[in-house]
Amino acid sequence: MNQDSDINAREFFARFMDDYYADCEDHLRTARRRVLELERLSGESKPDRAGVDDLFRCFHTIKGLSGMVSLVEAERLAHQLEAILAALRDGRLAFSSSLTSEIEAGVHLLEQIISAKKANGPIPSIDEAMARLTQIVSGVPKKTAPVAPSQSPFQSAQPAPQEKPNPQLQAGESCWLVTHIPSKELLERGLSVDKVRTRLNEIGRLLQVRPRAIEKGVAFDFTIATKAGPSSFDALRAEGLECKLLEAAPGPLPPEPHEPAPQTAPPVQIPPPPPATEHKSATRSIIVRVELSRLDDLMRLAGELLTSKARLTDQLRSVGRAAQGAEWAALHETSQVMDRHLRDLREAIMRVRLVPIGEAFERMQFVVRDLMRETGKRVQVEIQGQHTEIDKLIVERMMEPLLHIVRNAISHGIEPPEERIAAGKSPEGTLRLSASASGDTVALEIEDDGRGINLEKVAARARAMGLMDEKSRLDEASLLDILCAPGFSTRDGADLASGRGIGMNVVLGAVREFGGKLALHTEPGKGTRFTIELPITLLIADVLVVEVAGQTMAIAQPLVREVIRADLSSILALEADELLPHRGMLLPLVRVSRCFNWESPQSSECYILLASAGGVTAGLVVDRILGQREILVRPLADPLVRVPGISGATELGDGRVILILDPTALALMAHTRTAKRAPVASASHCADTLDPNNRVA
Amino acid sequence: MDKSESQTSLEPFILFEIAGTAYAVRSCDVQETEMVEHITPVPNAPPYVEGVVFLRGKVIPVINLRLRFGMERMPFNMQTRLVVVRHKDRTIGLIVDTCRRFTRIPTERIQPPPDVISESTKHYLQGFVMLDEKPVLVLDIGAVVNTTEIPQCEKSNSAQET
Repeated sequence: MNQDSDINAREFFARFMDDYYADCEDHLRTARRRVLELERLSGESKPDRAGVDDLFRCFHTIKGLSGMVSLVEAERLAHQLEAILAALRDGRLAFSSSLTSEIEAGVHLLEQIISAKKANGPIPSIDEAMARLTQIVSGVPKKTAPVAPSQSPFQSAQPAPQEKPNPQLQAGESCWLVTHIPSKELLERGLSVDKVRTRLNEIGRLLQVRPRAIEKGVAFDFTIATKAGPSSFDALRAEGLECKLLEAAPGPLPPEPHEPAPQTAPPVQIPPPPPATEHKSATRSIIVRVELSRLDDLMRLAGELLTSKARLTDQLRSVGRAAQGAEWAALHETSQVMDRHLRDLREAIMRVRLVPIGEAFERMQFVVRDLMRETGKRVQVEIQGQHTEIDKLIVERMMEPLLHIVRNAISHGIEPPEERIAAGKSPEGTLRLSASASGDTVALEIEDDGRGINLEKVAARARAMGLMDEKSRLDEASLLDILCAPGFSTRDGADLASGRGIGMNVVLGAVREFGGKLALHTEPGKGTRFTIELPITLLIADVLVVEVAGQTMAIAQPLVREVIRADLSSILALEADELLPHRGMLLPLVRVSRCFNWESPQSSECYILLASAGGVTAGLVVDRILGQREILVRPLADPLVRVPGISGATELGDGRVILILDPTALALMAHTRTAKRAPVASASHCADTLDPNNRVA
Repeated sequence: MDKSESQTSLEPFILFEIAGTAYAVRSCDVQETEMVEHITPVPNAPPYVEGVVFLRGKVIPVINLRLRFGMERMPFNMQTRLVVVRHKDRTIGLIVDTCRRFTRIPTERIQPPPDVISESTKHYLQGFVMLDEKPVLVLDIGAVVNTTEIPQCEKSNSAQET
């Protein structure tokens, strides 16, 4: 019994903490954006009022939330930042770029504290930051009253029992203790901890909030100072919350308003501006935060629905041959309507998962700022396409890899100002982050205008590590393979190793996990550009199902422009090449079976799929077309089976895996048939690059 | 050299056989053992990669350990098993001739591999142990499934922060 309640309490706490992290993440995101805006304005004499207000609200909320979870460091820091923002807003503090960078550093530290808490790591010290911030605030002329209650507002941090407040009370205020024990019933009525907090904020000012473990879970004790009378708490009492008067107002109570309105309660000095709360609850009501795993479930279900619908369609078709007439027509129509609805469903679910890439880019800017400070380099960040949307999971998993590339670009790509000047460049380097969507993919580019990658150095390193023999020369195409070789970037001495974080092979691994592509372009003295192509969403695609040498395979339909049924006799053979006269052109053909070293059965006809990539159009020759399906794409992530020409796998409901052809890579293979190796975009492990075989027909 | 009365740490292993030789892998590395069903070949994959199978919602590669260890291919039969191992984030199936269940081995009885064997074998052989007077080779799963056998950087696939 007791144990049960323990578990409940723990579970509840865990969920509550999850909410806390998610909330903080939201507010930190806003804060970051606002700080960047402030920074842009740093030349001006006055900051943007709305921005400052917004930032103030973020800090205020983080302070409150952190108090509730007893994360003292975050609470104290947020409080101090809030004080600075209040002073800035009232014009008591001059707006300057140094102030902005203090705020920025504060946001950064807040972020670190919260993520340390989340990771159960050691909480970074805030002493130094607090000292600096306090100094800034202490130089500020006081208003009629301090920005926050002059006593420490961090009671929640101290072990002092909340029963005896309260030098914090102001004239006419009484002090109440409201105890909220979260329960399913209350939650169903919409009374969450946060809601209680919001409502109490309307009644008066919250002095402190403390969670405490009780037998059945957790209780939150809210201590609140208010000028409102006891009846203000009636509504909360009716909901089953315990409200206790701890300390009556010294002197007579003010006449009690009929309806406790926020405006009547707070005197001028009260810190939290009610608009903040209102604004927050307004947004809160229309946004539902959903765990990604739940969306995954939905997505999986939709995928399974599609698979079984496809089978139904097949079966209908075979029945349709026998049965005809009006009933059949009706059945057929219903089936088609269902197809449409399923497609809509699938798209709707996918849209839910999409987030703008801009957030990730904003975080990069902070990293750049840090690196500038560390390295003494000057870098300007250009961002393009921040509204491009991409699957949330993909963004999250790509965060570290992107950071790695950005760090490399600044640590090793962009030169120090003197060196840039000497090279005739602007002293300030440029890092360009851009995103663009085309079809089903998003291309991310990270480009710097630095010194470029020194091929000679990399080659020397690669030879020393036995990745390359003495004779072969390093070209751009194999450069990426070398850089992505395991262990390469963790060695010192290489021009590219940033010396911290992950290596390029992890970047490549992450990109591949999603069936993406990584490419690199570098020019000595001019800079380096990494291009990462990722699918916008995971999972579902329309494919043609084909047969190649007895193997069933799939090919993404949008990439196939046309399907041609051809007689073998109409194909022209020219040494190693095969061409098909088509619409007045000679179309180069790629025999998929030959790319894969498979034997196709003898036949007088074949099917040719017209696919274009990078300005090259090629016809992929397959043996048969089996049909058209919607499939759930499964990544083929393991390095053992990442091979050029195959972009993923699927399963059609019978437990057998079907490989998905990558027409782009195959078409490119046709184009680069004279080259020794597969194209960069799909080059895989080193073993491949050393393979001198010309596998393409 | 028989069943020890040892007071020491017994670690669970899964035993299997290839060409009459017994091998052991730590059972914590093994996710499950399956019958071999349809394997989809993957073109241009390393020769010892038999293909991919669909297992619990995932498409995983399958290594034929006979081929991996430089032995002859043998047709699959009722004894053939797929030992599904996990290494880091990867899940990989290993085809073995037969699987002989589970045993506990006192770890200190595992001896280093003899010096005379070839470098490439030594690479994935962690050591051997005598069980019932027969040698059992203990495999290093990480090395068995490693694709990029770059000399001198075996450690590198753990590219963690330094």
